[in-house]
Amino acid sequence: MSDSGGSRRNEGMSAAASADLVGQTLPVTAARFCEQYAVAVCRFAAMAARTPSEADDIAQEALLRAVRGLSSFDTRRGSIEAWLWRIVANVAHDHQRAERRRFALWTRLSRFWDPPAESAESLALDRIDNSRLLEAVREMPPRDRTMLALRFGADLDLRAVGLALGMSEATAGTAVRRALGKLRIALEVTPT
Amino acid sequence: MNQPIDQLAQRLRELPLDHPRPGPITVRVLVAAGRPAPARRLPRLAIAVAVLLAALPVAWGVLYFSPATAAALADASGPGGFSHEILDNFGLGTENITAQNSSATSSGYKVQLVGAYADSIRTVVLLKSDPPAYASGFMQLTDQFGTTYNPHNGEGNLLTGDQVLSFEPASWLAMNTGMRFTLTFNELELLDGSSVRGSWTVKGVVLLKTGTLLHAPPPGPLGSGMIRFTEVRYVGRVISIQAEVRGVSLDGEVPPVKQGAKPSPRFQVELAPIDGSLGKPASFGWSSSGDVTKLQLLFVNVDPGTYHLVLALAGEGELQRSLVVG
Repeated sequence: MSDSGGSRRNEGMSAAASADLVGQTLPVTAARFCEQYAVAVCRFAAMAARTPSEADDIAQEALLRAVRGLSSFDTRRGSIEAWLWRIVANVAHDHQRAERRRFALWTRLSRFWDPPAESAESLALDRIDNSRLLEAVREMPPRDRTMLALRFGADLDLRAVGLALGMSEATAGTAVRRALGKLRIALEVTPT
Repeated sequence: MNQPIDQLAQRLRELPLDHPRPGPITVRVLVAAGRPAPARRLPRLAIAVAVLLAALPVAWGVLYFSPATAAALADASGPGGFSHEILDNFGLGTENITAQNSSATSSGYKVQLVGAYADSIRTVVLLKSDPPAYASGFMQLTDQFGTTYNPHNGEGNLLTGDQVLSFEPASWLAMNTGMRFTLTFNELELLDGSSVRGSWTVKGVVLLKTGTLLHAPPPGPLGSGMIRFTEVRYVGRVISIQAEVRGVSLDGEVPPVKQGAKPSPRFQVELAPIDGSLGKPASFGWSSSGDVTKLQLLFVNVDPGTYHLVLALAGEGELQRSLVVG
């Protein structure tokens, strides 16, 4: 597994910059905080949610919860990024738990299986359009979606993914790899 | 071997994700952050004290599954400011309504459950949305025993956000214990015809009025078929009549008399006071299986008295029966 070649938009934020965001009074801090993180949180939500409206809810609720908690954020307990992504992951988890109940029956009724038309090796990824790729991510189980959304949507490194979900970097790496494998299989068997 | 995985990872990184958009989300967050946060839960110590004092395991079970106790203690006054016109169309007044206080916000729309009413004919909930909208989409009402109730009908005012939704009556279990219900829906319709997707869940508690069973009229011919009345119930100024029709279909429409007018349903029902004053049209629905059609008629705002129940099937015939209400 070597998915580490991409950009790292969020791991490079310095401790000084983080500290700069903390301790200011609203609304300046809130606005700067949103400016800093809203793009990544929205990208995460777009992948972690099943529907656009749920993505809206997750992004808004996560940012709001973080903004409201800014005044009580304690730098001695870790970086602001780790704190934020724990909040984001928790909000997504809450939504996904409710969503699992709502969609369980629908999924049972609507899921169908077609045999793969071509092998994994012959699958040409560049033939898969973006909307189908996103659709396939959104059809994945909640935990896998969260993994992929943190890693590739929010563009966190594996250590940050692990911190957000309360697991080691190695475990996070394995989980992300497994989720990618499942996604590849899902793309193979999804009718074009 | 890892090549497809790496490609996939790269594709995911570069995936254009244009929704949600950070700009509008940021605006909504900053606006919401400027408002006071919702009340926090009780401190743990207070909860612990409450648990110790309340002999909770037994009390909770009784209150949860038999909300009759809880609802009796709740404010039974009607919800203030709700549209009387809509309530009247459902044969309800504020004095019938048990006030509720549960709300849900999604996609920027707050929906508040302001009241509920339940009897052996129907379960009715009153919603108020801000900004004004009409709940629709996938809608589910469930009770504390897991029973799901199908929606009957609804009416709302898209200028004020007031809305009344009617569902099937409570199960026999909830009928006896009171009903602790949960309403979930995933779409709001707006005045301009557009809709907003989201997820709204509100919860409430309501006691049930059982009403009285009236004498069912004798069976009779309806055109080439037969109709048999299986139950007539009167509760809260509403009459519910259930019947079975055999040998004839109620489906179909009568072509309009005038050009440009709408066709009218082939099957029509009216409840006319015996004194000759204006009759009341029914809300009705039916489901057919083979040769048998199960029919439900509903008349609202019916005062005690004697009435003629008139069922007409265009091109087939008419049946009239007397009905004593009260």
